[in-house]
Amino acid sequence: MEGKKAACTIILILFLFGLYAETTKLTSASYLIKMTISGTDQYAVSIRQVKNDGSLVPVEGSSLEIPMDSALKDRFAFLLSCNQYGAQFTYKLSWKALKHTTISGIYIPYTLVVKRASAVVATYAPGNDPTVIHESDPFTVKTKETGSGRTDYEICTVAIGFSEEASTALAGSYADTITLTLVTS
Amino acid sequence: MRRTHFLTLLLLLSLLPVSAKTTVETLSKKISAYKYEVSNLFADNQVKQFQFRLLDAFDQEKNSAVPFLLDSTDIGKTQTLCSYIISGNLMKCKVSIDFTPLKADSSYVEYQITVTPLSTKMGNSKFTSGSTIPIVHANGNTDYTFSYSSTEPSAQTATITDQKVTIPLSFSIACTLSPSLSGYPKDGVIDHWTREGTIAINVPVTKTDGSDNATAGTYQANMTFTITEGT
Repeated sequence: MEGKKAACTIILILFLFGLYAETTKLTSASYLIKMTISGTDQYAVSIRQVKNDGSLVPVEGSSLEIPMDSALKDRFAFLLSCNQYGAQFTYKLSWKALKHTTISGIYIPYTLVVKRASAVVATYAPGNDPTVIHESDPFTVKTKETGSGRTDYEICTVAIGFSEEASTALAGSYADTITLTLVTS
Repeated sequence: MRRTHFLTLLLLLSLLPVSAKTTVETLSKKISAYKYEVSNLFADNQVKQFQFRLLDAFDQEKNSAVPFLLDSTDIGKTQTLCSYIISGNLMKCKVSIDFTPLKADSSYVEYQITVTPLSTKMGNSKFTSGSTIPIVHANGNTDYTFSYSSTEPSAQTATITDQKVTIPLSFSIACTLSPSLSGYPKDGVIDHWTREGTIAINVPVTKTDGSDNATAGTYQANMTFTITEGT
């Protein structure tokens, strides 16, 4: 009787094994492609992360992670696209400091450089007070004068660098919000 | 005196591990690699398996929950959307890639897709495409000669308007043994193969009917890979 039970069990295992092999025959995977085209008379803003090789990677939403290294390097870009040509817009950036997400009072100031395409517009030194809002000088972007205007865009790159002290800062994650504001259009 | 020196030395040695102890955080990351089993070169008792990977234009593993993002700046350009890697063993496979229209509620953006398959690669260096090698069968003394060849589909371009378009990829794999051995090779492929290819996307400024393709809105499409056994 015991021997019969053991034999049944073995057959069941072999059966399940065969069933598993059958299920590996089909594989299906689906991916979403999403495209946003801006309106007709104003800039639409999207964010792209700058990779080490300089390429721009689209970012979903408005949150991105950057590594904590001290080098002053391009971290992300505001991609300003417009369907109207010959238009001029003025923006400014505002920011504070990278604050520890769980421990209050712990922060890391940073240097911020505003670039239009690859040209430096202005460099701002780190501040010492994490409650103070830093603001860039207004800077202007302008669409092309000719062409269809449909695909015109300007890339506004933001480079961020940390002081050497950041490498000895308290472990954890830090966050800050950088805001791009339209001043005039 | 010597006893005192010995005890002092012993004491210092016992303290050494304590003083050398520092707060070290170990960061570990699990890595894994898959190796297809070659327990029987004549493919009698191996498990059939497919593996599928999709990399984005920056060669990063694409999570199907994260969409490919395009915006106005992508209009009028042809650029790499992704590359695929399909690997398997034993069986032949065919692939179809479905593209649904890039649609908003009542409108769509026309786009073109170009799928470019690359050459099939064999995972085992013993079995390179077109080569012939001797194999000694475990159950006999005969030397068998293995030869392998594959044919890949050429690049295909499709324009997706307001209807779903399927791009089929029919691969052909031929595998022979000489002298012939009844029943072998099973399903044509003995060891693990890899097939790669790239997918490029272009969103033209105007549609094929001449109307404006860059109409404001947010559009979504699906790209679905289906891999089935067979040719």
